[in-house]
Amino acid sequence: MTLKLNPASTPVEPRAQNRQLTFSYRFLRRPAFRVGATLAVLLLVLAVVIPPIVGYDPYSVDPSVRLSPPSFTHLYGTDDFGRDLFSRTNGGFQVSLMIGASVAISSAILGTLLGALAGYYRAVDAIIMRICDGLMAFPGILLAMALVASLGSSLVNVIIALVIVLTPGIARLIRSRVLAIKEELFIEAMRSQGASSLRILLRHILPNTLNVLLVQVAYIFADSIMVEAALSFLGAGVAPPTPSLGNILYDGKQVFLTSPWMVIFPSLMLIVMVMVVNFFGDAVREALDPKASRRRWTQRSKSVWLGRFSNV
Amino acid sequence: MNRSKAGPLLDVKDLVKVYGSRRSGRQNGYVAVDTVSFDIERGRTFGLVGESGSGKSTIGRAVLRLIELTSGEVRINGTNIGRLSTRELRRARQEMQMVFQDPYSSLNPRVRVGSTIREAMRICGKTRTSGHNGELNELLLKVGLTPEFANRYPHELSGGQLQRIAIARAMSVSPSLVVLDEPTSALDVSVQKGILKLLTDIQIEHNVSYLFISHDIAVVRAMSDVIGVMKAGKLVETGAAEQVLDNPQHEYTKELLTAVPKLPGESAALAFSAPE
Repeated sequence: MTLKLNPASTPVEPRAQNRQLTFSYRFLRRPAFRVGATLAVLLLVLAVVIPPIVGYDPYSVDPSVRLSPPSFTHLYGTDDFGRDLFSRTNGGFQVSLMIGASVAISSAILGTLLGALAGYYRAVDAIIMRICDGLMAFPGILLAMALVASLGSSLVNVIIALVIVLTPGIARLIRSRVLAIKEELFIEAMRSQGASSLRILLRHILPNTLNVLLVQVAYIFADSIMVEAALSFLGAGVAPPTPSLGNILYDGKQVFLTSPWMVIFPSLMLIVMVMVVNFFGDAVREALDPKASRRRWTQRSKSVWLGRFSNV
Repeated sequence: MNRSKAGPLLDVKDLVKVYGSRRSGRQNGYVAVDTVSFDIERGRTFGLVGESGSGKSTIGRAVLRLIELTSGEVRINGTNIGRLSTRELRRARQEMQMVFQDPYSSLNPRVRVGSTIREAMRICGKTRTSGHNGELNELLLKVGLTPEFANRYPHELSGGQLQRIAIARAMSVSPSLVVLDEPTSALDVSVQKGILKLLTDIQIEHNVSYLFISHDIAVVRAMSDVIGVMKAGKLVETGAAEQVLDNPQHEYTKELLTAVPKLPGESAALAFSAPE
């Protein structure tokens, strides 16, 4: 065939290659990411690298040094059983991290699955969304407490309870994205190509929901750390003697006036942890939204912070 | 590839599409397409003109059964696509492809354009393993691009380039009918010409039929063998292109033709001749 077409007027010039690259590039350059990453490294050094060097067992009880204030032997002091608070706080950090990660990942997977089904298939939409409405009608912390109370308080059960509490939000979010993307022209184009529903859903709709999911997962991570601490503080979370930031606080509240270090150190740890995760969440969100300016960032963060700390 | 059966390639009979009414036959829906019949011969172009909202695009979508018909039937190669099961329909859709008006939103923004085309080939089972890259490159060259474009994302291409990709995607499965839903109306005039030329060349080489939908009479004239004029869901006039445009019978067609803006000193704005 003899084609003398005006050959695609612009030549192929090298350019910022693709969206993924641009995204990670922008993500890594966000101030929120840099602050978050710095804090995260400090936290990890403090709570994971240093403890083995100091070498205290978070479980070993020494009644002779009950409730001793911070010193060089016990950096954060000791608790009411004479256990080293530094290693217990760090143990709590690890437990919180584990819970946060498991809850974020599980509820992301489950929520995406449910949301995708509900958004794509009208028939299951009503059923799934009514169940989600039902779950969301309860205050999260109350529902989580009830679940842990009925399942028994253990690490796994706390994770299960938190997943049940936090999944509906993700499902709802993904559903709304799927509903919107489903109507896009390129989906109709795929359908006109003869693509199956499964292919359209998996290859064309879900990848386009990834950005909102990523942001939400970061906030869920922070949320579950807070809720777990609250649960443990109320005595419905991770059961002692396993350290958790919440149950250290619970033990500390009785002796708060005489030995405030039992409350101060775990609280600081909790605050910094949640801050780090929120910084990462903000960085993802900003990197995905090229229009996000600095000014709007501070405004939005303020409301996020207030929201994070007040809903627990 | 040419399953030559007697009769036209596409046969649309008494097509009716009512929006907003349930199957129970409530009469209060909006009638988008009202008993439209036409057919398209193999290798020919049927141009559908009409103002916005006259039901042109609805017909285009109905032909591919992207929307369900209220009544009437669409036959391609003698097969009534309204009766096919979902699976059969998916197979049948490879015989008919579509190119949309807006090239920016008809491609998945997260998929490289090469993968988009390759996926179209894979869906119809055309690619096994070997040689599909060669085929892809060939397609890209055919639509006036270069193989390097395969690694680009849609947002890195211009409207005209994207529309070429969309055409390559449609042609990748060797369809016998392509529905062109205002393929050039989102593009500027110079790019438009290139695209129309490309479509004409492809038609000559592959003997593919086009259902060419447009509100631009000049473009339709340049492309079509047969023209149908739509007004408020009805096909008011059908006939050979020259006949309809030079000697319109229906009032509305005349109105449409006089509505074409003319430049001072130009005898008629219909001077847009077939692209060389």
